Amino acid sequence: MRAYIARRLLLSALVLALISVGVFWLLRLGPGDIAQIALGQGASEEQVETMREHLGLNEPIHLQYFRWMGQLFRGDLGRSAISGTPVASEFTSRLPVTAELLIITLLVTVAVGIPAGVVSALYRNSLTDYAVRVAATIGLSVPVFWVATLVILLPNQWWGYSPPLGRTVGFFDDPSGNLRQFVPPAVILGTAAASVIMRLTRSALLEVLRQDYIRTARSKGLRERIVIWRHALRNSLVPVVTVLGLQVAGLLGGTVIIEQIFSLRGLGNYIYQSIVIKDFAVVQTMALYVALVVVLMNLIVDIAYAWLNPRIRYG
Amino acid sequence: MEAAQPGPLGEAQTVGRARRGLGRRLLFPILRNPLGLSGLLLVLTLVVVGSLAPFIAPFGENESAGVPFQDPSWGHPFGTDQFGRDIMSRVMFGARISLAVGFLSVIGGTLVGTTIGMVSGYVGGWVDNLIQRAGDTVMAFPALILLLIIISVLGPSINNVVIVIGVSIVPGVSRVIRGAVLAEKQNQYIEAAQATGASSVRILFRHLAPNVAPLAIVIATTLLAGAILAEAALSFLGLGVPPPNPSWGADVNLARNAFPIHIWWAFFPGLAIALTVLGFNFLGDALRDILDPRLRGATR
Repeated sequence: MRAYIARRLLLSALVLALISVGVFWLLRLGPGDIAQIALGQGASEEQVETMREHLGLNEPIHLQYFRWMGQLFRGDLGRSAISGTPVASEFTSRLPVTAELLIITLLVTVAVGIPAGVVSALYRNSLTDYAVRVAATIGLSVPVFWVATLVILLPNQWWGYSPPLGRTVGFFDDPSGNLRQFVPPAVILGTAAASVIMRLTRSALLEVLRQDYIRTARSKGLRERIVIWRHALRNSLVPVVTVLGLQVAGLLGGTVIIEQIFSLRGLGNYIYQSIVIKDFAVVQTMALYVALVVVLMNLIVDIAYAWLNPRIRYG
Repeated sequence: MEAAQPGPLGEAQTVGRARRGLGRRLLFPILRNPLGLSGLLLVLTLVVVGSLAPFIAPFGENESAGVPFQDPSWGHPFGTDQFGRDIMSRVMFGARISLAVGFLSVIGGTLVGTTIGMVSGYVGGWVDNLIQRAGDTVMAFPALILLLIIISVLGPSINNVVIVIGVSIVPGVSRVIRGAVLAEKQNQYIEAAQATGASSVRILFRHLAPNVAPLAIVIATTLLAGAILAEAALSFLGLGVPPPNPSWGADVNLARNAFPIHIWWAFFPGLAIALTVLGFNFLGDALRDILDPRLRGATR
């Protein structure tokens, strides 16, 4: 087990290093000069040159990369080339917003996806099963940004109501105001993930219910409820937990859209704004952060998987 | 009957038959599956509307057709937008963009991914390891954020959207194909081909390719829905198909920011996306259930 974790850690570090090189190189591929973008169109040749010098853009690209890495390892996340704001201060003020959004989203995903999958599997091929499965496919098909747009626009048109936009309300200052702000986007964001979890729970549970030990449990005379909840569901949730971890990557991407529409000042919104204004110093650091979260989630999932299911080889 | 219910590795083992009867083996089960059938109908409708848009749309995609912000009426069944354009006509023309981006990116990405996956699985060793780790790296990153970054570097255009979405599906495709090739490699006909002195390239493209082709087709079908959603999301965020092209995603975004609120402008293009993606999802699910249980989890 320890060797397995060590191997996984090493591999994760490698993936992170590759992503950092990839993103860094990618951002410098395009046409257009970062210094020029930072200064805007009106800048003189001289100002651009000073800016290039200031941002270290005249150095060879690998030196620039190592300078960036050096900064990161000293704990310096850098600052925006356009506004000059340190990335770290933006990051700490925005992290709670995205964290709360993701936590509520995951709760919704689990609370809807797993029971729906169980019901669907237990009443296999019934009308309920079909209804749940069709609902899940619809959940996977409807674009998040469309539902979110309608949720903002419709109440506004009908009753002149708009959800509290802009400034985020702290949960401990005003719980109901906070939830009114976070629950609608979280539900919309979680719909697709819940659909994936539902489908997976259904197929995993059906798989387990076919196993011999379930027949044994039933023939011992155990009540059906105990067979399902204690014997079957537990085992079938192993793959569900793994996929739930993997969903986090998709949800992180989704925060970019949903925070934009609901005007939540979280990390997704920060990443999007920085990409749009080509604030590459911010984009590269935030991209690495996103990759770090995903790689960590994968690592946790892999270890949890090995721990939950001793049958897999740690190879 | 036997052909309709292939085993888990049915494709791998039925060498010649898999190729000959593929159309018939796929089509009939889909027609019998109610969801598959409705998916097929949705997709066909879309293809017909998209390809005939210049002839059946009442107005041009950018033609000023009347007073702005009209509600649906006989003259304008979906109403008009801020610029007085007929929303129904724009939705019809938008089908062309969605389909073109979806099909081109998925076909390109599947071809490249299949080739890479076959090489990775067949050659093995450090080549395989390198390719798969590179794939892990790309897949570790949230696709939407990656797409946004690349588009912002390259600049938004239809071509770039196709390229970028195509590239983003390569690692997933190559991984599934690699797995299939690893299994396929064990068969005796590969050993026989090697014994006759066939080159690796010949074995890959003459012997292995026909046997992984059905799998590649199914993967491609299941990826279409995602590709169309991705185009819509990118365009919605202003980093996809640029206006005044009638992209559905871009139009929802325009409607979101318009004042006064004109709900129909946001409603109909978004509904078109939802129905299109639903159609491809139904079709893809039906195909996958019919052909290949191995694919579970190939698409996110």
